[in-house]
Amino acid sequence: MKYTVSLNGQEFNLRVTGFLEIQTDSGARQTIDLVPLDANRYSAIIGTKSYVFELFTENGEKFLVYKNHTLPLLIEDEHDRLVSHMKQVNKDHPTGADVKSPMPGLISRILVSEGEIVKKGQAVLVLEAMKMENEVKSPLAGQVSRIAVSEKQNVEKNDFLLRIG
Amino acid sequence: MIRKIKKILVANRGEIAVRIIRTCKELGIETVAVFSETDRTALHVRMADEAVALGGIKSAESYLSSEKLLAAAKRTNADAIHPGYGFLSENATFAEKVQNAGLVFIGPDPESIRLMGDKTTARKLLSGSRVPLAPGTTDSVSDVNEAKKIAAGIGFPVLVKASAGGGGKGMRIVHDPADFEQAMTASQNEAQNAFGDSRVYIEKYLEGPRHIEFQILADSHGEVVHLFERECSIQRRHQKVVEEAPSSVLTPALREEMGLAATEVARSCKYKGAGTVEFLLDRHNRFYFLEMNTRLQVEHPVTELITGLDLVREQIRIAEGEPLGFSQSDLKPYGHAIECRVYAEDPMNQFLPDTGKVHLHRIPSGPGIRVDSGIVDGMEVSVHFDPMISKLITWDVNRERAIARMRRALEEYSVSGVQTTLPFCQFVMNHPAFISGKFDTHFISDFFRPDLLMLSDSALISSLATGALNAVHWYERESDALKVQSRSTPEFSSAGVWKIRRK
Repeated sequence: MKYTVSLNGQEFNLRVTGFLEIQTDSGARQTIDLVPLDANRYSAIIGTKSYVFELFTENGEKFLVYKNHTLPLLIEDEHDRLVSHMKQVNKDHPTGADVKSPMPGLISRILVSEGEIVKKGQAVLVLEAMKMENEVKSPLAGQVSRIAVSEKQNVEKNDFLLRIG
Repeated sequence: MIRKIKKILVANRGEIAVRIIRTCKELGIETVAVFSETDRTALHVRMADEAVALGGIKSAESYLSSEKLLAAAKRTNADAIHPGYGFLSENATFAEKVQNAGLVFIGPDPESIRLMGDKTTARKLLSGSRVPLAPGTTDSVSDVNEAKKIAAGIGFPVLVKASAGGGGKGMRIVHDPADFEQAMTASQNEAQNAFGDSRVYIEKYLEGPRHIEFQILADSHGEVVHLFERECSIQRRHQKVVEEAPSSVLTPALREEMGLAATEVARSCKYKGAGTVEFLLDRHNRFYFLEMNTRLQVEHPVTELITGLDLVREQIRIAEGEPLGFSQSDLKPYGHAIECRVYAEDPMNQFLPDTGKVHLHRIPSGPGIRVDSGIVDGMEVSVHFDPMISKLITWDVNRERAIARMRRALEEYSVSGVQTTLPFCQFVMNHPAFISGKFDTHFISDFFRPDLLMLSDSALISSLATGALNAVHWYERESDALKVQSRSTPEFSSAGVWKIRRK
């Protein structure tokens, strides 16, 4: 089966040709020694080099952790590739974004109102968590089209806070 | 008069409670742990000889309740209370209540806490001494317009700081007079939440200072010594992440001068026990008194490693009324120690606290490594408490080797389930500014960008991509959808899937 693997922004076209065997674009075949450990971690020996890495997903996105570095990971087969290509066409022209809560906490202040034009990186509200006041910033420039929370409201991680655009 | 302590109630949680219990065990002193509803299975509860439920989830209902703590001490017949750091450790009223109940408070007298705990009172006390102070007010200000005038008089940038403060909570830097009002309000709110006291004061903000603090030990017989300095300039949100001892910038002469000033601060408030005098050191090697922390510090292990002293043991001995038994000339630092704080925070996203279940916590070991941690696999990092998971400390004969050892230890360290400051600490240990010793408290804004945490070795990434594809294809494929297990659902571990497939 043919895959496109994107890791840390680098893309690799790989074909799975047998159990733990892959073929690269150049036609070279490689067998790796891969053993699952605990908690989604793996031990891999490639050639004679030894690696331990962890895989996890968050909000539907995959990540690989190597020596505490968290790297974005995307693995697509030919079918996935076609679907994501079509999605990308729309994604190239972002018109808005949902701002979600980065952590559980209390909305201590809302700094913008509906209809207000905000700059990218502008603080839109203040979230209090672990006794610290944290500013939540707008991911892009645009108009605040909807505010879904109010001051003194408790929110969970990833709760929808407001929409820009 | 020497009064031997037989049983200590540790009025704290997490790594510091564990740290204190360890020394007590070595001294043959019995220990009592206390715990909130969510901490029933915490490490300090498992380690202590006795444990008392405080009830409550929030700290105000548990670790901050002096009534509940005193009742627990009474119930278990403890004869002393160790407050650790944070919570009630710098609360003079609590110390007083402990003493009035006939118990030993392991720390200074309430009067010393009161004098140093209020930053404006401390500034007033020292204003006539030889200890240099940063320009600013010696009283707190509540009126925003008046405060603005004072700030303009001192000259921007200024700092708005909580009078009752510490640990950077309730502190704001203001560069532009237009931002002053918002900063002051935020500072007052944060101070009210963290300390139950919204008073703030204004101090001149020093550009590019280094944070250097001196560890103090003082007994009840008038002996005061310092255990040299700790450099704590690597900070985010004015809170320390990396500390080391000794500092790479102090000359022996400056060390002696600052050490003398530190002991003078301790004498001025008739200090007793272990305490820390914090200074800012500017680019011209001028130093200014910042504050005195009247408790054990988070970063005390680096001092322990270069002096060979156990500070908790010294605290207990002093509280028992014993003399120190050594003087300044007996003390010589040996080697170099570095501490990295492992916080559940995301360095890729402004160091925002991360919460969740830590389902894997593998700590490094081997020569010269110390890990102080209160966490066990499966424990939740909640919003109710400080997000620090552990402290990793390395020691070696010199700074260069201590850094190399820290790099090795950080690579061995593995936390799964929450984002941590580990990759940031790796970044620091590899950064030329840190390695050369030429850095200040602006290290993060000067040198750090989240994208610098990404890997750049393309051969390594290629190998990892091969590993990841095989892992997903052979061990984690479910029907047609490629699924990598969620970090938050470790019970469906990949190893489990693999075992099923092998049958």
